[in-house]
Amino acid sequence: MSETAATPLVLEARGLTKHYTVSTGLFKARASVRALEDVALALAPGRTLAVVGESGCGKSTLARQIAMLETPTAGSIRIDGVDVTSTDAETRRALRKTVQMVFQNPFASLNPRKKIGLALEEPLAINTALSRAEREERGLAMLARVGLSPEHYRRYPHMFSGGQRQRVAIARALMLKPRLVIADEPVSALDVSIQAQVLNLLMDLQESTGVAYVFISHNLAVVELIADEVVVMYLGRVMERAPKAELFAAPRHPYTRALLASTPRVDAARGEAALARAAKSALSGELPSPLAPPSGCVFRTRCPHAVERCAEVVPALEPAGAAHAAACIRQHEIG
Amino acid sequence: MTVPLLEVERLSVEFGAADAVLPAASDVSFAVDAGEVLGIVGESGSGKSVTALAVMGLIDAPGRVRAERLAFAGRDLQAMSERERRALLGADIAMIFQDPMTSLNPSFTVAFQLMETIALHEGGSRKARRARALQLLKDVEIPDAQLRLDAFPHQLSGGMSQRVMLAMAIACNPRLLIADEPTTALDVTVQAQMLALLLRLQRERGMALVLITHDLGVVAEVAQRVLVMYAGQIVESAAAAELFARPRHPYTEALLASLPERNAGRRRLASLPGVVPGAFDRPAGCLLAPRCPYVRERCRGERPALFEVGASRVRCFYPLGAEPRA
Amino acid sequence: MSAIPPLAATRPAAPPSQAAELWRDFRRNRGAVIGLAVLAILVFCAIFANAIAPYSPSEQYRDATLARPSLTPIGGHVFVLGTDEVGRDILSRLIHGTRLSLFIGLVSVGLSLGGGVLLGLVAGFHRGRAAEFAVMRSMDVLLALPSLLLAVAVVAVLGPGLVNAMYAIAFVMLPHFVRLTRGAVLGELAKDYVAASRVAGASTARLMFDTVLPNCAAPLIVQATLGFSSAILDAAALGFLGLGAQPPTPEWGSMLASALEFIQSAWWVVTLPGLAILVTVLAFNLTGDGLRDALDPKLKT
Repeated sequence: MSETAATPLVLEARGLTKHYTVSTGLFKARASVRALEDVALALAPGRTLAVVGESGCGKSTLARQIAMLETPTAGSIRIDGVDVTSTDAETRRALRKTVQMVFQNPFASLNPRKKIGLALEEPLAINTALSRAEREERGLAMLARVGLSPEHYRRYPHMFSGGQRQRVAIARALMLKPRLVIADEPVSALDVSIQAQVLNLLMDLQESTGVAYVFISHNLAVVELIADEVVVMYLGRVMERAPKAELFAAPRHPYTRALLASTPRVDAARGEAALARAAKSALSGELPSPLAPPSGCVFRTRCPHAVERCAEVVPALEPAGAAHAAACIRQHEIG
Repeated sequence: MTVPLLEVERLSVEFGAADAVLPAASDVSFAVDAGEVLGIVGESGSGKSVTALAVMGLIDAPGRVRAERLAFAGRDLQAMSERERRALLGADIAMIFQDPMTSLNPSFTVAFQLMETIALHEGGSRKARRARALQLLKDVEIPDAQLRLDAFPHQLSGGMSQRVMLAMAIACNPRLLIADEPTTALDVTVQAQMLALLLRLQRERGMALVLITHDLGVVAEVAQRVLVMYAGQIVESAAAAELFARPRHPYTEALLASLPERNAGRRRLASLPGVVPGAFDRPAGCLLAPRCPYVRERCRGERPALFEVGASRVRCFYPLGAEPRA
Repeated sequence: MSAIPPLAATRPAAPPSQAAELWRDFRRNRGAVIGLAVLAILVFCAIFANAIAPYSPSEQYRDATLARPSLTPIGGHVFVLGTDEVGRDILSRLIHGTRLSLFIGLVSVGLSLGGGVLLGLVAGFHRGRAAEFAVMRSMDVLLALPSLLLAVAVVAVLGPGLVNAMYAIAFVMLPHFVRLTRGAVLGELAKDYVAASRVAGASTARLMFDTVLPNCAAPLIVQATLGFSSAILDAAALGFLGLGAQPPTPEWGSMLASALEFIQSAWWVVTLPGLAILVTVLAFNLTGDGLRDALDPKLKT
């Protein structure tokens, strides 16, 4: 994906690959889990890129690579133009101020033994030379920005609800004024009405601070609302990539279509017969093991349109429209 | 007039010490007819799971369960002895839970667990029970059923484990199946298959199905009637189509309005401010009053009862689109 | 259908603090509360030993050797719990012995806990690397040897005496704290809040002491309480063998040792120190159990 010289991308990944070696038994050879395979992404400042997929698709692994919690097996990640996979620890540490993360489980992402005020101040304490008073001032300001009151500053996490904790987590991620925030399923563990509040907060903050989001989710309804561009992943590979409106209006990859067809909707309730038909035609079989992904196209074992050639060729991302690409050799044949 | 299969009248479940009582469910009344699909919808703290557990008799001390009437097929559940109640559970009433990974015993094979359930309620020779177990696995559409029979739970995926749980639940042809968040832990593509399966089994066996979930989309696809719960109380009870088209309770309306799919094209989601009251901040009047956009004086002082509005029931003094209730 | 009459406005109580909740859960366990009460009495005795004890623990009353416990005075002195073979008042010796036992427990557990936590943190944070291997295998070696023999060996090297006995006991308890810490650390390292601190740029040292360690406190506190009782027992055993406190120090174990020959003739010289050990160990164990139950989040509704 080429960019114009005007705005440098805040995130760019090419050929990103991550394998984990695991032991399969006492005396057996070690096996390799292919968590990510040849993933390419691009994100412009102030925009939201949604990464969509089900369990085992590699989205959490992707989050960890971009957040510099792990180093990829192959490929490159450029954050604000700097290649983090080939620089030294110093530069990576400096980049902490640029990339931050919000985690899925609000009950596990805050230190239970730390008052939230101190948790908010921690990034400042580590990365800046601000005094205690200055840190507290900024912490209180950020807390107010996410809709909590100053009296919450000296409380422990267990006194807050899931939605409130997630607000604290978002506040913490923004303390260093990052250019990129990775949100790993930030609302999946929240109730519907709280989801709405937190999503609104995320969108408001993006408007006021210009931060870019990598928004990871399995919930297509949420993605349709918040994303600018969408990447669909399956078993570690990118299946389709498109601007949001196009992906939902004209999905090209069979997996994307299956995802869209399976999402339950209040206003398009189908009843038993239609549900059964949808379930049958959507997907068959089970997710293959990432230790032994299928040859050729990894989706072919469950794809309703698979042919023999799908087992021989690993499909590359081929264009299907402006800024729209799908990894399927039959994308133009299927209606 | 046929007797409803399940009758629950004024059920309440409480936890906590005497000075800090948490009413997990209060004044819950509903009925389920044979062969009906009822959806119970609510967010966390709504009391939906607790209600199901109370009906099954699975609430242990320090929880306290009280009900004016709790009857199955006309028989009073509260008047039964432990033994009689246990004979009923698993045979006539079955339940499946949210997390299939922890609901199956990890130390025993699928065959063992299925055959154990069959033995408890029906008996029969080992060969006959194994054949029944195999048939059950096929009924729940598990591929390679013969192979899976001797598998251990950790060898199965989430979707498969859920199907095994379902097989165990329907093993003795229950007349009522309670499913507590059966698809929440599953991927969305597997979810669709599971829902279709549940509906098919329900229709074929004439089972009543009570589906408990927080996912309104799931309820819309599956249920005939819907109960909406908030902070331990039923706030609206209506036919599914009616509920989604014309919600009568402000909470139901707000819940539907905050769904991403109903905010398409808008910049922000409609959302209800505030949080569900916990143990320490329960309002004196209507439990939704602190958050309700339509709140009035009366709402803050009095607790509304469940009023009838057409064919629905609504716990609100000023139900939407209808006359205020006395 | 009429509406339910309005309830009186409920007073919104503030949620209890962590300490208050802990005390409430602890209070429910009768045994634990009794244990804590006994411990309180022991601590009181230890601190105010000089004031409470009727006589000096090393003063010998030659005219009242092996006196029976009674309230009738002998030569003007009342020996409530009798005297030992050289005429020292047993009650006074027991009270002063409390001071010693608690001191032993505190120092041994303190040393062991401190060292064990450090080694456990290192092992947990360097999973799969040489440091972990070195630490854990050394601990395995220590665990393979019978603890008392190991303590005796250490004292043999360092020389007999109460202080050396404490070092030996601390050394013997070390592997338990290391294992416990490492296990707790490994459990916490997998959690999101640690990843969040790493993303914020926390160094390994900060992660160890500021982020992870406070969350491993609960099992360590319980183990420390139980370690107290085992330290006292070990000290008593070493004292019994003549390797710990030396006479005339009123340490309960050495009191036992020097009095064995009187078990038939003067049962109180042997039994009373033994009872003191029993009561103290029981008190620590009950308190430790109560703490564990109160701190265990799974037992909360």
